[in-house]
Amino acid sequence: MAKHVLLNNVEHKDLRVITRRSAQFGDDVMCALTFPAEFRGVQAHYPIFFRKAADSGQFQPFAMFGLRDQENLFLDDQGWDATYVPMTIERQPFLIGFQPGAAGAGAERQMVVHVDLDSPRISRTEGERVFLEYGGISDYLGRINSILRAIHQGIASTPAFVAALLEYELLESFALDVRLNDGTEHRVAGFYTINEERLGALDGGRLEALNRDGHLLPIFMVIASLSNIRALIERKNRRLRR
Amino acid sequence: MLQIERKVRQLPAADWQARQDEFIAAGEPLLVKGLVAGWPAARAGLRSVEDGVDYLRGFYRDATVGAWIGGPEIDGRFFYDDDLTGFNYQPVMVKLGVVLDRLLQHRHDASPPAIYVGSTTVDTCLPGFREHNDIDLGARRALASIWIGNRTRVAAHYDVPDNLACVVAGRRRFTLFPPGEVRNLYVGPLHLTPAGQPISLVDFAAPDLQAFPRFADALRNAQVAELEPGDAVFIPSMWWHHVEALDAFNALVNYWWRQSPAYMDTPANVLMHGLLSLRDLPKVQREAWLEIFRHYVFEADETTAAHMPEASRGVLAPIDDATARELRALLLNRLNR
Repeated sequence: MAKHVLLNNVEHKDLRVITRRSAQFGDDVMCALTFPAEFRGVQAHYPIFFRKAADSGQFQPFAMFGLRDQENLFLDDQGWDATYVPMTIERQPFLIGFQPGAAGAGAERQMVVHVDLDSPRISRTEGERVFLEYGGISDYLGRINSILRAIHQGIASTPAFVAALLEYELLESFALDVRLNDGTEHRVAGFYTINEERLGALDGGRLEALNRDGHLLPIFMVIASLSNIRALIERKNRRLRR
Repeated sequence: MLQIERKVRQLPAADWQARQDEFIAAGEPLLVKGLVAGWPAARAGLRSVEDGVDYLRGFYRDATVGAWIGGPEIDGRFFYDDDLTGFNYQPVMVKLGVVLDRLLQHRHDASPPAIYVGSTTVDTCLPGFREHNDIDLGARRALASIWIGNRTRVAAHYDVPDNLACVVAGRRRFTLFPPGEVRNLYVGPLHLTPAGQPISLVDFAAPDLQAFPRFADALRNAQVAELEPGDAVFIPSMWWHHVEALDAFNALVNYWWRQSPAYMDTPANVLMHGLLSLRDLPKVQREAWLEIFRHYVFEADETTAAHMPEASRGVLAPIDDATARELRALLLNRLNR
């Protein structure tokens, strides 16, 4: 259920947004869409995997928070236990919309901010004010604007990144078999990651091309992110002990 | 058609070319006969509709443009809807080639749909066109745009830049009014406009003098220019202009330039701020601010800050790039509350 409307400072003048992280606000998700420009922040805490979009069949990168659906092992009573939260989570309950430019002929379509009025984060009494008293933009909304812009540009850059991975056959499917301390076994499947062997076998010219196009750094960020799998399983085991 | 005695002063192209700067500085409207008569585009437009369309098509590279489409019932008059909360036409994004096809297709219709591609950057929609059809405006950084359509009317409005409009195909009639006629033109909403500029609500084809009696006064100060392919009209900044394209295929290329530094914003922003913060003050206070504005803005000259040491004049000194940036930061900061 979602009710997306164009954000404006008249109808939404009293709008506040609860920015606390909690399952009751929809943060109980196993993963979130990410993009190469934020891999540096994401890989500090979360494994990055690729998944095929159900509709388009395109590979998309995701930051992983849990081992099964609706499991976010970073969420606890205190909130979200990490210093970096992926932008597609941070943006909630706002999203990017587009509308035609001013009625003039030849106008470009403009990026605008939409808000999901059915989000549990929406409030009139608590949380961050979206607009200032007389309709100005609050620091919070200013930050949301930059996040939405970064997401828009970041997601637009993903297809070129994925195309480069496919061109050099660097993506391979990946199943994670986990045996937890209580003896139970879990299998996380349907994901793809970078094939390090093929990456290691690329010749200088190809590496240079990847580097020139800005793909090499995010490739290594994805590889580095895999060391977070261990920490993720450890979070799961800690939960079992409780 | 309106009875307007006064014709826009007409000038041979050679005179304009010899004294362009002088005419631009003078700020009076001029019809420059045959200024672009040598353009291949204008020669093609004069030969036939097909030739005019074909010539444009020679530069067409699949560009998508914004177009206005109105039903035959609007009779070419792009305007508001009945309650002035919307418009009587549809803005659409469409391939320029499709527009040209439709113009040809409807060229013999007695009451065709109104088709209009307004203010579209020439270099993006017809790359290479200006290599063969262009005007030398000296150091002015002019924006060249093309306007294509069938028989249409655009309501009287003003533009902030100076404008040199050159007819390439079809005849065009410009009805001009000096800036001071604003109160006699019955201007519509400021917040909802067809193309960014407020427009006169008067229907020039059938002016309703009961509803708009002062329009008769405006007409006494109006001037008309009728242009054929190859002719150009100079419309100084802020002059009201009502534009009629009179044939089944019309094309016009115009040049817009400002006589002010790029850091200056459109004064329309100042007007909006004036509505927010000045208009509703008690009359006495508003009159006081009128004096302040006269002193610091409208009648400012070298004496305004002459009593202060130069180093202390701040924003009262001539504005430069750095001062403009500081002022912008201050305004952004103060407005956001």
